[in-house]
Amino acid sequence: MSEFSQSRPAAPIVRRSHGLFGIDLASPRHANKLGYLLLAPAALLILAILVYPMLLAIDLSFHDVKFATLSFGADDYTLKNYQRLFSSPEFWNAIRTTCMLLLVVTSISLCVGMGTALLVNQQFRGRSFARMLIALPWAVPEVVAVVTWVWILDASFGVLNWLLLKAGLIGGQVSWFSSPGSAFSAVTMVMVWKGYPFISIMILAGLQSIPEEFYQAAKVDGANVFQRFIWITVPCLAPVLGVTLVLTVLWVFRDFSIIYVLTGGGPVGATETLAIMTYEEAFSFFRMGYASSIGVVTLLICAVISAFLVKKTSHAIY
Amino acid sequence: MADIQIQNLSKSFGAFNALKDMSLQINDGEFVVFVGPSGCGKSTALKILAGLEAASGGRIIIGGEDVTELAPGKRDIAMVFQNYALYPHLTVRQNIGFGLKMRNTDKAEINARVERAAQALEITDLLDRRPKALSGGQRQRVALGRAIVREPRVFLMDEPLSNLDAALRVQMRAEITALQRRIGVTTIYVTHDQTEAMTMADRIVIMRRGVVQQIGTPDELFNRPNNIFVAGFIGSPSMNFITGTLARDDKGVFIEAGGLQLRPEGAVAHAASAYIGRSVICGIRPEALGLAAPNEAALEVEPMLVESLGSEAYVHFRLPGHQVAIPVAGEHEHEGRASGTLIARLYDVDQSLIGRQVRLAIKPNTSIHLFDPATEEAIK
Repeated sequence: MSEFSQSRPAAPIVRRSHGLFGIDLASPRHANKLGYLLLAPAALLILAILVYPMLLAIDLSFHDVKFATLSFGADDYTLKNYQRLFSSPEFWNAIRTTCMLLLVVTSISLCVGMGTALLVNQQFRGRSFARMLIALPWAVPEVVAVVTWVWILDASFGVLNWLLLKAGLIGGQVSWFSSPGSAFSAVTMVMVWKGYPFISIMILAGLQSIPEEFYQAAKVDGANVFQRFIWITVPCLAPVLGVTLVLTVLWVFRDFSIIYVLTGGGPVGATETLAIMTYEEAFSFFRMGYASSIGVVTLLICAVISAFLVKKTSHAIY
Repeated sequence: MADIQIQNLSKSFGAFNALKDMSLQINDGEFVVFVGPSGCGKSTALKILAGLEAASGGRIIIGGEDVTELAPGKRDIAMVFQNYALYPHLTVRQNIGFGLKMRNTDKAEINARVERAAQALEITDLLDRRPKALSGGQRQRVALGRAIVREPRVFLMDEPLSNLDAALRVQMRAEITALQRRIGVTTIYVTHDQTEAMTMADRIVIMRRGVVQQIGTPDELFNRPNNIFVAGFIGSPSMNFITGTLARDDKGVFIEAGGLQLRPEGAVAHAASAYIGRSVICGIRPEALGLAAPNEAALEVEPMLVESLGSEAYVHFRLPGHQVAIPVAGEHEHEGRASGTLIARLYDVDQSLIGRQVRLAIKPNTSIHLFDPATEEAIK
């Protein structure tokens, strides 16, 4: 012990730092000020590029304007845009198309995402490669991917038609974008292809956080593979599934490039979602007030859906 | 309830042998503890018994039925896990009844059995809570409830107390032992804590590097260890090991150690006669040392450290030239006491011993253990 008890030289006195404007931001008393300071750039940016345009759009939606103006309350306020919107068959058609797309794309993506995540969560040779392969569509830029799909689905030169013809599944070449049903299927397929990797990656992360003992305990208790999936995997994934579902729903709602590049909303409005309709009204017909009212309704629907999903899934576990 | 036969069980992961040729017969209703440092194969053995790992060789027979190839759910066993493995999304009631539900037991029957188990464990008022709202001890009880509710043939427990604080561990230790005695289900309990093993077990299986070192009652392991590892692992503080040359005089064989003659007796002394003139390792329990009387032959030491526990004190000292550094006790073998420091466990010490000479003597009627330095096996 004695070798440790020798006297040590006195430690040098730490000089007090005076920091910014004489305030030491590292001290506990001023720590929250540092927090605000660090958050300020991000908060200002959000105000400038999100909140301000949003307020502008809400204001625009109550005015009958053709071109966007940056001055609030330039004209008299009117509900004309909303009256016209709710009585327009195109709007209800867009709502129906968006909801159908939402339902079909989200549920198929969820199934494919869950299936692939369960698959690559298993131990097998080449697992890392399989994981990379599954995540690949997510990494390809959206427009590049969709332009490629346009070529794949092309009626004359498309590789899909060629494959289906070779396999004998179709008698002649199918024009994927000319009938409402096939155009909707094509949009669904490309959206699922683009959207499932995100769900798969999220679920995979969720699966890896489930303790192995849960499964071991269930095995000892006699639960078969389906019972383990229903009683352990799904409830334990609920928080992850909730967040993933919200993000996927919002993505389908606001996605523009896939539909616009593939079909442009056609044929005869079969794939015209609220996002496409907003774009068309704003930048094809330059009805900015009307387009803003569609945007505001979309915003409200998205807010309600996310609030519902977040509330629902946050109570699903623990 | 059933007896268990483990026959030549082995498990290897590639070139690494986690379990080597383990054979054991466990009687119906017996409480057997597998103990050893990390990586000794005790948890692997338990997982193989549960069916969660496949054995590389050997057979497991429970109640006369060969279960080696059976799925975990078909073995009629229950397991308690180290982290309890309670499902966070289910209430305590649903957690306890989970196994019965998976076996499609009638709802009324599940309720009745869950209530009975909850009463036995005094957790009736917690039944509608989620695991998050429970303390460590309560979670432990729920985990036990999930095991007993199925009324299985065998309980397997994998370090169930290691997540509890020291005081609660002592309490739950007693509760688990009492519960097992009351229900009488054959139980295999895995731990790295020798105190748990000593206090709970009918028989202890002590393991090291995948090999069973000794199987016996706590008293057998404490009093007649097979080798240095067992001698050092069982008992707290660990046994002191002193090296010396065995000699003989007219009173019998002895080892000279720093002014003290260590004289083994009985069978040990008889077996030791083959080692006269050779170096041996001598084991003395810390409690076998006491303060010497003024005119008694004694070991004069200067304590390096005195740890007072109130009623007793651990006196740490060195014996240059005689002490042997043997890494033993502890969860991790390499973290064991390998410094060669010796410890005397003294009672009724009423004054500070630091800084002055302490005269230690061997208490009468205490066992001196001898070990072969080459094989580390006990000379007995």
